[in-house]
Amino acid sequence: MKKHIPTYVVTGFLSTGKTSYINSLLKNSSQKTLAIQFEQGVQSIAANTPNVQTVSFDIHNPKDFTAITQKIQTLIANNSFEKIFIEFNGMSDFKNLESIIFDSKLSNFLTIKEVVYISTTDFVLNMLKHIGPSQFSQIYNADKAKIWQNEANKTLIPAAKKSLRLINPKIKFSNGFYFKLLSLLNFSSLSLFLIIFTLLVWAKIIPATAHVIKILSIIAGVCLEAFPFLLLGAFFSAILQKYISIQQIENLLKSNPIKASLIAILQGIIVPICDCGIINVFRALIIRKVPLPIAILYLLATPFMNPFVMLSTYYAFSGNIAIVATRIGLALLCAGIVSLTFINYSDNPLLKNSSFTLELENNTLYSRNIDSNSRYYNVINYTQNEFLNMSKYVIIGATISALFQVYLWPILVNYSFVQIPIFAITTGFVFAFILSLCATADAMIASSLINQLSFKGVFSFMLLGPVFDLKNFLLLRKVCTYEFIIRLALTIIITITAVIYLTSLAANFVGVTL
Amino acid sequence: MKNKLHYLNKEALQAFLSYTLLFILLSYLIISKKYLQLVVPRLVPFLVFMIFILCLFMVDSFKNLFRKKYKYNCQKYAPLFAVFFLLMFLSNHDLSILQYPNLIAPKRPISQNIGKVTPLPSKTLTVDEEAKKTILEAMKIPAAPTNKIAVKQPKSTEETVKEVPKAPALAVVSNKSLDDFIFDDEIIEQIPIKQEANNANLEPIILNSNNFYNELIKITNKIDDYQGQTLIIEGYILRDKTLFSTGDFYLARMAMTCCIADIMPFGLVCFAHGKYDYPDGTWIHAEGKITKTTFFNMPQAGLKLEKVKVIEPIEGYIYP
Repeated sequence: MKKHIPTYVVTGFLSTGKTSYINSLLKNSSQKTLAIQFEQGVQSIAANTPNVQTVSFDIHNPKDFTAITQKIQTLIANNSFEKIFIEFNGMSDFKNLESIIFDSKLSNFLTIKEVVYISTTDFVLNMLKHIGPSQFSQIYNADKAKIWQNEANKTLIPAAKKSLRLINPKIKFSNGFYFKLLSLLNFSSLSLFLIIFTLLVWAKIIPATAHVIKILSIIAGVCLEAFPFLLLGAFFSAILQKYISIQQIENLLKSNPIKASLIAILQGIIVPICDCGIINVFRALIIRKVPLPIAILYLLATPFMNPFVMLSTYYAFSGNIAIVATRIGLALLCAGIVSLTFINYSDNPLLKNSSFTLELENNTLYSRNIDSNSRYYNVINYTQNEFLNMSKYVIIGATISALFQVYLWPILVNYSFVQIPIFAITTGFVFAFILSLCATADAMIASSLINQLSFKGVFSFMLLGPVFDLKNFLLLRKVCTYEFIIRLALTIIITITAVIYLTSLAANFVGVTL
Repeated sequence: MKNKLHYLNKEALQAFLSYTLLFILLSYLIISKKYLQLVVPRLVPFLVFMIFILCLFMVDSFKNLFRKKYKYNCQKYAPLFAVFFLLMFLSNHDLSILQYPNLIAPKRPISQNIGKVTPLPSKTLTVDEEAKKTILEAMKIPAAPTNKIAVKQPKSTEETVKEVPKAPALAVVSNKSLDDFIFDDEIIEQIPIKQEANNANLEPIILNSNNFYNELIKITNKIDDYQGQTLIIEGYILRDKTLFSTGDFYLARMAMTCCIADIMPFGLVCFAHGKYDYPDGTWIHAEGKITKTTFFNMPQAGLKLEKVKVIEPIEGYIYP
């Protein structure tokens, strides 16, 4: 079997010092080395070093890889190189390099040992966000990063490192530490733990008590219920992203704010996406430049406009139409007020790298399709990514609420919170947040809580639950900045409290005791 | 072959595996109706949509199975595997324990029939039908076609039904303590006797898993029309010491609105008049006359028990 030649890939944007880095490595090397350049830099590699052979290619036309691979192959066959350096093009996506190496016979001759990303603080902090996804793919695929350091930029290094870690959390720095343990403590590990736990219960090593079965089935039930809606939301937002242009949305939503608001509210009847799927669509709307108040109105009103939600509320309160009407009316009122407060909100609610990481993730899913420009492929890829990204948060939300429901709920539910109204409202909020019930189910639970929480508590439960709960929070966290989430949550909570108090005052005025 | 394996894309393999396993499991759950243990039938179209999308994902990941990449993100698929294993485990496990209130199964058997849990959840719907047949046979009433609800609408009587003022829509709970709401047998005795006598001759209403929820809601909404009519109901006994002092109890079934996380007992008050001292969680077949009562000022249906028989627990939930 042929020996694989160790290959080192150096990536980075134009004129960030890739060539200087390779030269510094080659300076004292006595091994016979091939240096492949995929761009014409200012500097050339190791011009005066005798045991280094340099070759350079132009990869602007991505269909032309066969000629490149054949040339490299003949070079390798005719010389006995001990090491290969690849200086990759700063403007090209990493998947092009993968195509060159892995889709050809080249991968029988060489193995990539390490990918290093070279950059400067100036580039990472100021330019990165304006450059397309190609840079993100390079950072994502890098094992190591090197940021050029000098006296002037010393203080900026930590910030630059932080930005790179946002894109590639596992990246190592040539000047810094990286704790491997940290990578184990992420959100996926809960899923792994769950798998192990389930298998242990199955093998009867952990006794299958009623509590254990109840917790496991709540997690499974919530996931089974949420996943289809998550997929539906992801699919819907993928279509929104790939098939509907910004122009079309502008025509529909920007011309007339009242018309736009009505569309945002009423579409929920036609497209009944459950609350788990809505966050994906919300992000898609923001990326598609829909005005923030309209997007928020959509986020807050849709769960209540769902026909299933109305029906289940109707049934839960033994066919009491007044309660259904009150619920929808108050919910829309709150949604309107909250979205109005965001009219002058100038910050971008999305995470800085949100739309970029999205593009990046689309590119770095296991696939490297040649027809990556087709819309169908894009929609499928996007849906997959969104679904996979969000599913782990659903599992976490489900686990926490299952634990709460099994261990704390039986204790709490026996207390009566009616005496102090504000306490009843707060309890309603807390229950709604932690239980994270589906919007179609919470009315049922609410109606059973009426002894403990009174009208005020029950309505705080029913108004907050569908729009802001643990599951939603975990999903929003992935998409939006903390500042935005906190601002949104506080506004929602204050608005709901005020609206409930005003309603009960008004009702008292009319002569109905609440 | 060896060459091909060298190109294997580990991430695509994981994706393909997780999608395929979930696809097979979900199809199995839907076909065998085992999903009913965890979610409501209303979700089936959405689950079918999910199966369809999983198919597309499977094709996509299969296409990429031999496209090698430098870096793999394999943790991504852990949630899917977790859900797969959970569902695998639960679909093979007896979940009937969740159908009892507060996780308590009947503690001591009254007769030999009690406490024996039928193991097959797939029987969900048939058990009820059988029970219904035996009831009808016992009562010598020809069995109605199984899919139709064996309920006859009460005839509109000329009798003017005494108007009971409906409680204001939102007047649900005031600041009174719970003791003020303790049920009193006297509340019931406000039924016009003629109406009751008329309704008593009507065909009995038989509740089964399919119509349990809707019929009870219908009866509650038009309680005045139904008073005195015979109701046949099967469920388990649920006592609430704070509400019922006289040995009365709820006869309930577990209702699932959306998924297993929101199951809760749903039923009606039975007035036992001190008889039928079965422990909580006992499944009974009860027959009695519908009567009117109030619960927190809202008109509610109650049942004056006449015949009670201990039965085997019924598998499955009721789905509003």
